Amino acid sequence: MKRLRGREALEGYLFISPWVIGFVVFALGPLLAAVVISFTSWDLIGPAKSVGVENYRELARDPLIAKSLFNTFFYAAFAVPLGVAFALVLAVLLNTKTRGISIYRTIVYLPAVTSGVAIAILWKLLFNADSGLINEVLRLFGSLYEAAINGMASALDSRFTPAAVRFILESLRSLGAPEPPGWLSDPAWSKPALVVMSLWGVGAPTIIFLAGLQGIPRELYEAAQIDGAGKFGKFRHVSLPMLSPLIFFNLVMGFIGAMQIFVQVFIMTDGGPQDSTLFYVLYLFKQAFQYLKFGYGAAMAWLLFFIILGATLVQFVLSKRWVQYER
Amino acid sequence: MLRLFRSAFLIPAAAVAVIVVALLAKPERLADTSRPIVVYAHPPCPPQLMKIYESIFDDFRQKRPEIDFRVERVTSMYEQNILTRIAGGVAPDIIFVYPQNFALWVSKGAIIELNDLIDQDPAFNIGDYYENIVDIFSVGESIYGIPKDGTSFYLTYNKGIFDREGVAYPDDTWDWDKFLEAAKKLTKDFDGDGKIDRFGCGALSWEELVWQNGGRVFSEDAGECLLDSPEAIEALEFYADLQIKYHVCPNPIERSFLGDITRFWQGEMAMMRSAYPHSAELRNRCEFEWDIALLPKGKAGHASRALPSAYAISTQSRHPKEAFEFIKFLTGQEGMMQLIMVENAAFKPVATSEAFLEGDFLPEHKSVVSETVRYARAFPQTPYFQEAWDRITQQLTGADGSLGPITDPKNPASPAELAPIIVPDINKILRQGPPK
Repeated sequence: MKRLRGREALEGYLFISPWVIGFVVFALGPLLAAVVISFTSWDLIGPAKSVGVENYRELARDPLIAKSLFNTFFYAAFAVPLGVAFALVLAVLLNTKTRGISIYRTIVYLPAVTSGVAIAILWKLLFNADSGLINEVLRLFGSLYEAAINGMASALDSRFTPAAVRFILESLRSLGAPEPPGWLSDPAWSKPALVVMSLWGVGAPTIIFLAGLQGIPRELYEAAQIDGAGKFGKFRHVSLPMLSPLIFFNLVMGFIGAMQIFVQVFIMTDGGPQDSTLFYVLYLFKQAFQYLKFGYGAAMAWLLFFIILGATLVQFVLSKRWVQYER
Repeated sequence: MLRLFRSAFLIPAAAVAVIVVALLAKPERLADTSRPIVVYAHPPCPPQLMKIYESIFDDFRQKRPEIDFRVERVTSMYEQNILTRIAGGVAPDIIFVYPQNFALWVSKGAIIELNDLIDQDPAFNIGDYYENIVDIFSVGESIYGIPKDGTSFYLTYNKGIFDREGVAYPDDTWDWDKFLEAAKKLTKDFDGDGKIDRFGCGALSWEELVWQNGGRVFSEDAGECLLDSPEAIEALEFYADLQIKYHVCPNPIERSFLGDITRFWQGEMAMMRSAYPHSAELRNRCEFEWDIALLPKGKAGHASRALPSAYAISTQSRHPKEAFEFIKFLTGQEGMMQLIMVENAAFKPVATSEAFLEGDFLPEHKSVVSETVRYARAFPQTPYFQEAWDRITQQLTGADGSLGPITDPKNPASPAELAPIIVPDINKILRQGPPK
């Protein structure tokens, strides 16, 4: 018996050995090296010089660290919950039995397998403040809105219209439709633009939710129906609790991904305008590979690691309150 | 239990050991030790251009069969690639350098001084190369790079638009006022929808305007940022006014939707700032006649940004002499003559040759190309250039015609107010200690 288990274990290790070797050589080694590098001043060419905790002290002094962390948290705080909610809604829609549903499922998942660079270039054009498609559409709505307000304001010119209503309509008319946002060219809108863009990638969590929805036993819905639950009730009291481990999973993975946002801004904005999209990993890349401060870059990487670790632990603790595992 | 543990780990452990040994053992790089191997790392390059380079490489191999010349193509992030290889002790012999990264290579001791190689070669005369371009790749008297091209910027214009509007072609008498006057006449909103359909000119570059106006971006020793001087502020104001107040150049938002070169060949732009390497695309695309002229001069005369490239030899090279042979070949008569359609040589015998100046290909006035080289200048060398540049562009100007506080069309900041605020931050970067 013991022998058999030994053999089984050996085979098990044999099967995972490609991964173990890959991890040890290509991830664990560099990871440990990064610990050492973070305590040095190193430009990659010359010898590394030990500087103690100076790099970590500099993290506190560098105003762009705070700025890039703020930018990254801002992005994560909106992109992650919105993304999960969006994916959940899409999954519910895609879980219906409609003709051609597999085509819709493919369409939703397609962006997830498209090249990040191509997507970034495409969205840059869509977001253009002057001629981008998004603002062209918004302007169309703007002119419809203006026409409606104009029509109403003139139609309400009767004696019976309360003065207050007329006043509101008149002032709305004089204000006109607001200009659409400048998106990537406006420091106040560049991060929201990237949040909007992140929704393009909800295909992956959607598929996970869809699989989860299909795994929920039909009896639960039937029982809920007998208890008088409507469509929403079934969703609220059956689907949501049953999906909660997956929601938790997608929140954690989404947060880890969002904290490491890089390709989009590297291609689309290079951190601008006015550092409003200078996200943490972009700044790390700049420090290490463009300014050649590898020690500082390594220290930045460790700070990010502990931030993500801490945030994930907090999510795990909080999850006990709302995630329901079966049995 | 211990035995079980040991045997289970045996196979992965053995595999790891094999890999570690393979990594630690210094592989002999040479298969054929009789010929010196010279490795050249070629930067990212479009396929058309690559064909010309490959023919140059073949010619060199034929002419110097005693050298085992090898080319390794780097397809993206050239510097990061080379840096990593330097750190790993397997640097290529020949490295491609340009002004922005040059100081870094030198300050890190990654490339060797070439003076000895130059002096030992009686057939080689460094005076054959434009002096101001050689200076860009030198520190004091030490030369670290042999320049390949003298890329710098001039004005490319659409002759048809000038003819139709009755505006005289640009020439070397053009100053800022004349330029603005012409650009205003050439800028048109044909359908009256408030959107400009044809711009007078593409984006100019703010650093060139600062120089033309007698200002400086950095002090000579690169220890100080001088963008708060009256000359610099005036130039920055003119730069922003061209895009916002006069709107004869596209603003950054218009520019991010459609690049200047596309607008130009589509006939939606009368002039643009460009350099000789753009010629290939313009020859292909433009269905109208175009020519080139110097950029307008400011009150301190002509000035344009130099963006040449050069070849340097790695400190790790075991055959610097043979590497130098290739550099001479590529940057000199044999190499650059093959490249005259796409690059303007820093090697004067090619740059001033009849084959180039009188060659039957556009632009017509190729003498402007060599004249521009004379006014070409680069920033003083500092390893902190990139960091300082990022701060200036993010907090003041925007990079290369992109959006910065002073060029925000909705709410442009005043250079006179902003420059004095950001200059101390830039100075802090320029004066920091050794890299961390």
